[in-house]
Amino acid sequence: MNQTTNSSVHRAEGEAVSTASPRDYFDLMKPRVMTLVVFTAFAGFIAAPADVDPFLALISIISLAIGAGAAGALNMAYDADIDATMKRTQKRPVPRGAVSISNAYSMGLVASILSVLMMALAANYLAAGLLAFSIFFYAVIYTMILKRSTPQNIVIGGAAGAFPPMIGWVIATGEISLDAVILFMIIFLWTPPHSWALALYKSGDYAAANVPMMPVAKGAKSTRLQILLYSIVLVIFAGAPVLTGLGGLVYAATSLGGGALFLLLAVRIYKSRAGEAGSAEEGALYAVRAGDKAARDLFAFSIGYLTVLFAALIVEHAFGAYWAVPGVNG
Amino acid sequence: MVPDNGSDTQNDTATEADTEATDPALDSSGAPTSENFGFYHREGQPSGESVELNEDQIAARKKRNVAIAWSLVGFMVVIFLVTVARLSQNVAS
Repeated sequence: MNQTTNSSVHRAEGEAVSTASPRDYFDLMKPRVMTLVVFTAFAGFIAAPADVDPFLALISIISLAIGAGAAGALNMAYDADIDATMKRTQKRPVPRGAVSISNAYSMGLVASILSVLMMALAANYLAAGLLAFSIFFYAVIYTMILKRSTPQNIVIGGAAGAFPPMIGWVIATGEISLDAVILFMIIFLWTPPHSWALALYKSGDYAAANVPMMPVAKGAKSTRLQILLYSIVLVIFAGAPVLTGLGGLVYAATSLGGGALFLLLAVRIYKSRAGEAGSAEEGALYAVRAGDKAARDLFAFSIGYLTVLFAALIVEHAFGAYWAVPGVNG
Repeated sequence: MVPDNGSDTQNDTATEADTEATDPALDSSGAPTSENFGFYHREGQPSGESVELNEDQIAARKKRNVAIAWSLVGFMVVIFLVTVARLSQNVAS
């Protein structure tokens, strides 16, 4: 049968039938966030005092990455309207029209279920439960409830991103300990200054999308003060692993050096007029107007800061570079 | 319940036969004709419409299908290997 000869056959003109590639679906999972999730989860796993089958550990970490990606897909499906308005997110697969909202939801739900099942099989039920809860927290509590309703959205919602090292720890030990909670708290406290620094120099974007991020709801000055306050608490708290013995000399040095720089940049933001110039004209993540450079610098550095903190734990526990801090945990 | 009688049954049968005979999408046996290629849009009614994909759409669909196939194969392999690893752990302990 030749369908092309039939007058009732319609040519699909793009919008009706998808031309999405597997890459578009991969982008739906926020690969950059997945990378950080895998990294911090691996650090939590390596730092935990347990011996786990490497293959099962690998599958567990992959499950966690897929779960994080699934949460990202659900986020992009629900936030399609916001993403289409904001310059920074306009090229995401859903607002770009590459993937439909329903397909994004489908993928997110299927990947969520499969990742939790795989985690339950490869690790333990507690890790699977935490993964399920973190997906729910990010997709429902943060994305659907908090994000559009309160300037504290990323303070509370930041918990979702703080779960990975705790899950990594639970993959290894099967239980939640004080050290796991400390790792959770470090990311929880890191999220507000990190996100608000970005929101300061992209506040026009958030305002256009009616997202009540702190600079939009409370103003740039209040946000700069809160960034400074959260940064002080974060830098102090980042020293907690040294007190419990989780972090040794390498971690202590990294925490001190990185924390000092973090504070320096936070003070620079506080003294600057960042966020008052409005949004950057360009949509790129690091594009910024001259007055907002302090905010952009802290945003960029905050990613490096978290990376080196957890890298220090990996170096100490995976490569035998752990030396106790004299007088503290020595 | 209304009791059936012979004449009602005959009337029903005649009505169905009329419908089938007047529906251009169905042949006398009730099967879809070649004109609609068996496509239905709702409640079993033939729409007579279909969508022809252009080359880009066909290529994209093929890539997605291949990706889904590999994902499923990977998932099955992972489940199998995890099961084996778990069983060996249990046996060892």
